[in-house]
Amino acid sequence: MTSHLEEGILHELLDGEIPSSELPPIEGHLASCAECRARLEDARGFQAASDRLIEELDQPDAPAPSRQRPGVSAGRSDWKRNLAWAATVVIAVGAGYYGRGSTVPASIQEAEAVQPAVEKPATVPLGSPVAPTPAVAAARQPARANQPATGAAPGAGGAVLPEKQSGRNELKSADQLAVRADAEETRPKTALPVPGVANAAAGAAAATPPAEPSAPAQRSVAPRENQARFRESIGTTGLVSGAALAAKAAAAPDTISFPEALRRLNGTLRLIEGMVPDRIEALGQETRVVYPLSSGELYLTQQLINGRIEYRLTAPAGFPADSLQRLRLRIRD
Amino acid sequence: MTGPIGDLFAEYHGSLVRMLMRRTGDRDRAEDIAQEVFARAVAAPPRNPRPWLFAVALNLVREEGRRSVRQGRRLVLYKAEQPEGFEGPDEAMDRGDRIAGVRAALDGLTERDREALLLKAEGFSYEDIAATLGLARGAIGTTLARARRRLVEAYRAGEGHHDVAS
Repeated sequence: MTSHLEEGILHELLDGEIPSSELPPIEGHLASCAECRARLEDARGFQAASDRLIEELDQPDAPAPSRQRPGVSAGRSDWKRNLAWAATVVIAVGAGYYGRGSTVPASIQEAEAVQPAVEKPATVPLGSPVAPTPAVAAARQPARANQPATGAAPGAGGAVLPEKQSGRNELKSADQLAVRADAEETRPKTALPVPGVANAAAGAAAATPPAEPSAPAQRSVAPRENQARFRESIGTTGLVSGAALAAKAAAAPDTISFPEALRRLNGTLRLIEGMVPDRIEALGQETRVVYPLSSGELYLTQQLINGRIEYRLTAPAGFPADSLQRLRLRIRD
Repeated sequence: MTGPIGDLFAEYHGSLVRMLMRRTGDRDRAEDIAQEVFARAVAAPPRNPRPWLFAVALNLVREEGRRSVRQGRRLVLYKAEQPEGFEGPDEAMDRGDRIAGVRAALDGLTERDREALLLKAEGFSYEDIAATLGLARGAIGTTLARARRRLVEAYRAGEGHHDVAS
C-alpha cells in the first residue's frame, strides 16, 4: 500500500466489499490521515451522485426500484405484467431464436419425462378419432408403469372428460382443422413407439414433439367435416380408450411459467392482443393461456402437432359467438 | 410448477430489463434482448445464472451496437425518450434534458466502466461483476472508482447547471 489509500480501496470500503479482517489497517490509516479522509468523502460524493444519475435513466414506467436485493423474487404480479408485455414482443423473438434450429437440452427433456404419467398418454386420444391399437397401448404401458404414481390410477373408470369442449363455444380455422386432421390420420402409423425403447429412458424422447410426416393429400378433407370429426373426437367417449379417458380426466392442469410455455411450444406462443392473461397451464402436451372473463375463463389452447402449432379458442357456454370471433381475430401468430 | 427457468425469470427479469433499459435507452429493445437472453437460458440452463444472464445481455447489446454502426445507423434516443406522464411541460422538458445529459455522459465511458456501473446499480457484488465482465475481482474497485468519477464529471461538464451532488 502506498502512503495513501488507493481510490479503488476507498470505493471498496464504501461498497462494503472489504473483508472485516482487512479493515483495521485501513481504518487506522484513515484515522491518522486527513487527506485520505477527505478523499473518502469525495469518493462518497461520486458514488452517491453516480447512483442518482443512473437512476435518472429510468422511465416512469420502468420496472420497480433499482435497489433490488439479490435473491428476492419478483412475485406473481410481475409475472403477470411480463405476460402482458410478452404479447407484443415474444412471438417474433422466440420464433426467431428457435427457428435457428436450436434444440431443448436433454436435461430439460428428462425433467419433463418424470412428470406424472397421466399427462402424456392423456393427450394421445384427444386428437385421434379411433382408439389406439393394442400395440400402441401395450407399448405405452411399460413407460407409464416406470413413472412416479403421482396421478390417479389409469384404471379409475367412469371418469368424464374435463371441462374441455362440451358446452363451450369453440373456433378453429379451416386450416388448423385440416392440420389436426392430418395429425389424426397419421398418428396411428407414425407415433407407434418402438417396443424396445418404450421405457422410462424413452420418456425424454416422448417429451419432444413427434416428427410426423405431413400428409398434404389428406388436407383436402372439407373443413366442416373436419370440424365435426374434431368435436366427435373430443366429446364422444366411445372413440377413445377407457384407460386413456381416465388418465385424461385425472390430469389436472399445471400452472407453468412463460418460458416453460415457450419451450413447450418450440418458441412460439400465441396470445390475444390487448388482453392480459391470468396464467398459463399445461395439460398433457397442450398448453393453454387462460384469460379471465366475467362469465368464466377463456382458453387459448395450443399444441405442437406435426411440427406446427395448432390452436383453438374456447369460451364458457353462453359467451356470444360474435365476441369470440372478434377475440379470435386478435390472436397474434 | 414453474421450474428452474421460471424461477430465473421471476427473479431476474425485472432487474435485467431495467439494466438493459438504462444501457440502451429503449424499452422495446431492452425487453427484446431480455427475451432473447431467457430463450437462450431455456436452451442451455446456466449454472451461475445471474452473471450469465447479464453477460449474455451485455454481449447482445454490444453485438447490436456493432451491427448498427456497420449499417450506418446510430440510434439517437436522448430526446425521444422524454417521459410522458403527470409532469408539466417544463418539468418534462427538464427531465428529458437531464436524461439526455446522463445518457451522453454514460455513453462517453468505456464499455467496461459503463457495464460495471450498471451492474453495480443492480446490486451486484464485486465478485459477480467480475464474473459477468470477465475481470479480476481486484480490479473492480478501481474500475468503479474511475467510472463513477468520469460519469459525474462528464455530466457536470455537459450539464453544468444541474447540481447532481446535492
